[in-house]
Amino acid sequence: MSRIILEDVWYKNIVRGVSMKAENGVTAIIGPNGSGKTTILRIIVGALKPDKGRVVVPSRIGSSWQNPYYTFTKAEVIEEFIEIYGDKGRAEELLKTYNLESLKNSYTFKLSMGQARLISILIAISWDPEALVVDEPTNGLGVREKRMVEDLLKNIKIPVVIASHDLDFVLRVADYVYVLSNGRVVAGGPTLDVFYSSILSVLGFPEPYAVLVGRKLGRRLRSIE
Amino acid sequence: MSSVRSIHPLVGFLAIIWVMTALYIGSLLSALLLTLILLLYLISSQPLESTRRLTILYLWLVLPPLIVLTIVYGPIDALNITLRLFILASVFTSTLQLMKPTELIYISSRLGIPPLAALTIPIIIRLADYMNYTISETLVALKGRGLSGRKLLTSLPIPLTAHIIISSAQMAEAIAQKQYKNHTKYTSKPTIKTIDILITTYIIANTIIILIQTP
Repeated sequence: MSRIILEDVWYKNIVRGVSMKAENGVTAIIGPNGSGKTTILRIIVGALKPDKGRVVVPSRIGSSWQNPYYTFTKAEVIEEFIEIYGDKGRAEELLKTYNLESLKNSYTFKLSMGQARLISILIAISWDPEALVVDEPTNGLGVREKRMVEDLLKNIKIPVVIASHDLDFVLRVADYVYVLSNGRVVAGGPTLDVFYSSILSVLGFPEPYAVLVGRKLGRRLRSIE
Repeated sequence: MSSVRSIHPLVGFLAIIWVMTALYIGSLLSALLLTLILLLYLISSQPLESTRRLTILYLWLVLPPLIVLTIVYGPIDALNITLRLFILASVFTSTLQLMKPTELIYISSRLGIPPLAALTIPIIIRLADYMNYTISETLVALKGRGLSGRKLLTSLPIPLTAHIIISSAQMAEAIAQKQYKNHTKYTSKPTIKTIDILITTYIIANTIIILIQTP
């Protein structure tokens, strides 16, 4: 089983002694702007070398970044998947599975931001990586695409690490959450435990809607399902 | 990215045409000298950080061909070809960065060129020093889709070029919408400055010398 482990990782003044672990399931990194979320993802994929600390990651990590268009190398969506699978039938099957047949012949660089992000994540998991990293998975997504990304990430059987501002999405998709502030992990644990702790209000984050409603009703969610 | 100092757009285009002609007829030294004048003028007009990024970009542009061509053709030919490459890249980047967009639109509008088209090319060039950052972002994204080695490098130009063109066109559209809709109001008539006279004199003098030397 592949996993991602960061132990006392330092990078310039951005990441300061971060330790975290991600195994099968979705691990989310949340925190204010400039707290070091994307830098940690870049350290995980090997784009940045930490000044200090230990990083254990699998050799094949798929990733999708804030600008999904950087992932594209072909003119049409279907061509991207034919290149990965080497087989038109399998490429079409994949798009059919995710109800994306309508985008089959769309020009990749003309996709909307939401569609491009969805395709970029699909490309990142299609080459059979051992772990997946997604930066801001819900940026620019409509309601339908957000649900699709949610289903996609929840059903992947490899460690997935996401960095996101979208706490409602994180609540729905993540098994574990690490909260970053000024480059340090200030809280971490199972998603509901973190969201029911006081850390969100300390950082000035609004509570996810489901947690808020539960609190108003005097109930604590046992599971988001 | 915006330069305090500038050159007249017509002088800028004259410099580009002249340098290309000089390279074509083999007058490498005079093309290089004009390029260096323009580069020095550009460097003196922009922040140190922009110059640092531009230098890195030139190194990326010049060093790999120099190494490959040295192996294939030997050092003299490699230096000759790489120098031409450097001159061409430099003259385009420096002149287009030194032209004021408002003055460029003034000229282009009188030639019947739409403001959007006139703005896109200088913006592409002005984004050149931002390309360094984009290259590293794109490399990370391509690795994230499983590309590595030769395949990674050969795929790099596709998203990179698309990004530069799309971003430049979007930026040009935004600027055109914001400022240049009414070009008679928002453009500015280019003025002739000392640098324009210096460049024009240099070009005329060199053209005369070349014409005299030509049998």
